[in-house]
Amino acid sequence: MMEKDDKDYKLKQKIMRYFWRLGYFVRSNVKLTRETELGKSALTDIDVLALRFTENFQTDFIICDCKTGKNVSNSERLLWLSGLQNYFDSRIAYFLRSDISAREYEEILNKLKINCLTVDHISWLEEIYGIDSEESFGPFIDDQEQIKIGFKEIEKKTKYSLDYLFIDYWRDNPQHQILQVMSICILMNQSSQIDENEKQFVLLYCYGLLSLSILRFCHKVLMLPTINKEEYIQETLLSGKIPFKERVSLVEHFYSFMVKEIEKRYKEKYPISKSEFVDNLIPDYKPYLVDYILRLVKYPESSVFIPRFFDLMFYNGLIGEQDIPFSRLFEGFSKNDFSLKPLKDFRVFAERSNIVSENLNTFLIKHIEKFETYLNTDNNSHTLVNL
Amino acid sequence: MSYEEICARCVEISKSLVNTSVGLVGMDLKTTRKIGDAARLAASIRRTGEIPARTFEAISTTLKIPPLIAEDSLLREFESLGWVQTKRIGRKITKIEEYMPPNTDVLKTLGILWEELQPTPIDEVSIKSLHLLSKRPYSIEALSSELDTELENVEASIHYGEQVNYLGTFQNRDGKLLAWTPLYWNNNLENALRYIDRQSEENLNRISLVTERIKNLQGVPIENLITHENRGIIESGVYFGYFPSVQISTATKKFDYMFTPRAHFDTGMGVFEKAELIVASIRHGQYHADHSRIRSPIAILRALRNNVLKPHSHALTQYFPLKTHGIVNIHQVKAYFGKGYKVEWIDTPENNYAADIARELLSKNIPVPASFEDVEVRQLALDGFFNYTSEQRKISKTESIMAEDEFKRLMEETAGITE
Repeated sequence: MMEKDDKDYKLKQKIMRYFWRLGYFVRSNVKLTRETELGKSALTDIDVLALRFTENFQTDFIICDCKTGKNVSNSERLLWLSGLQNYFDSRIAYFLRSDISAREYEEILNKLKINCLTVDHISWLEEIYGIDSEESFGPFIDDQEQIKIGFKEIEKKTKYSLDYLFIDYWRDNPQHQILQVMSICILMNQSSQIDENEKQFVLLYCYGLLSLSILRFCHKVLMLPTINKEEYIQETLLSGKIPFKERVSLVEHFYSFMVKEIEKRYKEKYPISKSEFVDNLIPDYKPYLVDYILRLVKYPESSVFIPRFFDLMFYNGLIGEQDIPFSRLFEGFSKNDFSLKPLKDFRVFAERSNIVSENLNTFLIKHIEKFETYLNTDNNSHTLVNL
Repeated sequence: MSYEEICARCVEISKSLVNTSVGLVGMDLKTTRKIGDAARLAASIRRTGEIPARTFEAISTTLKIPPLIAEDSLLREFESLGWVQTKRIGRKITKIEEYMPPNTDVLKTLGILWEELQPTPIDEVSIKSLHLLSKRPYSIEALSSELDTELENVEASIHYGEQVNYLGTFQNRDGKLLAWTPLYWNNNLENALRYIDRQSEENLNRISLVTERIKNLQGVPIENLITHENRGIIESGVYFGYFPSVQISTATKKFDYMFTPRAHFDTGMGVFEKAELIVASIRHGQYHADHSRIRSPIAILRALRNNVLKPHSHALTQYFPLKTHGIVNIHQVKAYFGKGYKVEWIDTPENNYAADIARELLSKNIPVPASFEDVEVRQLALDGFFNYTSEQRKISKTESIMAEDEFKRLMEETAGITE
């Protein structure tokens, strides 16, 4: 998340705005961690992470390192950036400095396939792409302090850590991301510790990440024959970090152990059958999530803007209490016609999975209707299509 | 009786009532018919996304649900449940956005709705009778007592049921008048009647218990059900075709796999019968394989549909019933162990639909009662075309289509080919 006392704040804002213009979903100050025997350990920080979907749900990552002022360890930093590029399997990385001579590092930049940018260069790019550098919306809005405070307050009240959304999320595969974010959404929606506004706040933020993970997951699903899709989704989604079959086998062994223990120790029969016990592995929302993904893969071109829609809803609609700048949503997409069905399907999925509060549902319906009206007006360059 | 079972029974009755005008059925069985039609329509349009109004009308016509009823009554219910959203110009519907939940939710919700719509006594008795009689016959008086209702309600329900064959009566050899459901045995009426005709009250109770046990594991091997007390009734039940079963024969032995009786809407081999063949073949591998037993039936079903089952020497025996009925081809191949057989799935909409039903049976879900007609509607709704085999079957069923132009137009509308 952006912090105003961050000395590279303005630089990050500029590059995020530029990536958004190219059609990317953007985040700043992403922390990477690793698991050790003693728990989580910080790995590194990424200044700006951006990702975009091709029209077959393939993900294109960009990593950007931003620094204001002179920094003598540029070479080391370039090598570090290259390592991160590998970690995310990212096609390209950006090295943004307020003051750098690219020529000095030309050889290493070429070898590592990293683009070097200066502030002047960004300004030039803003001009040719028609970007208003003062414009503030989405994840690079000016005032993000209240967002940080908001999450801390919720954590205090619920005594549940939301670190996953800002730290571990980016380390995990899409399946595990989906499971974790869904858990957070369910917990928050059911919590009696937080009020309706706080629920709206955290859930809407989660939808951006959840839809992102689902779209990433869809790439493999899209490539499968139709008859295999449902099985693949069901088994892979539930695997997380442990393959589903291993998980079932583990639980079945545990069940057998429990039945025997209870019988021997208490001379009583365990009242739950093995299949009922194993079924508890499967979250209630599974059939709705499977259904949603099967619908989503039918409309790839109309699905890829969904994570950015939720970002605009969160940052502008909820935090900024402004109108959603719908025209900004399609920046970077060459397609001019869209269907809102995938977005509406998400709302229905959220309702059925119990990850949307009543007020938030009303809020979503209202803004989707506004979006529909926007697309139906003659004086915008994008149109609503019937699929 | 679960809500899913209520809905499934509604579908059976509504399908039986298609193209009929029986007495005051519009009044007395209004709720049952509405829910049954709703379930059939929901299953047909699920996951179609966005449907133009004309295509929706064509789909409901193909399902033999009058478009006026589909639009005014059923769509309204779907809208109130959040399952569809209609787009209108003025009062005219132009497009339907579909948000159907998974099938299990559809069945459960519609079952609950049936109750909430305050069904008539005839509705209630018809549904509950069908449910009870699917397990064993009852005398009219016993049925009235089981259902805790007036005798005249039972008699009225049976009267309706007799008109279209989902309920019926017969006199057993003791001269007692018993009620039963011919719908579940309408491809084997005479033999099924001969079987139940000779059963005592005690045996009828045993039959009911056996049916319940099979419900918990469709395709269960016969030897897993047989006890000293029920051997006779199970073996003769299979012999007379009262209990649907599939037999797989090896060189030395015959194996029977049992299924619960169910409604038949197709003549001859129906889509459910095909599903039962598939389940039985998989159960054979689960319980009676020579070398390695199947541990995950659903994984085997998936492998079968994907043509990734490894060749093995027993495949010809195990999948022979599927080969006979055009579900798979079996080729002899050379394997490392000698002569083996490779099974190849025959990819047709009917076989795929049967496999979907087989999956529901293996997963212990209640499938929506279906027939080949529903396969065709689904094909039209999703893919927008008739496949060759279904056209051939239509041609072989009717000598001629009288209203050819209208029929052609109906097919075009259903396929979404607009003017």
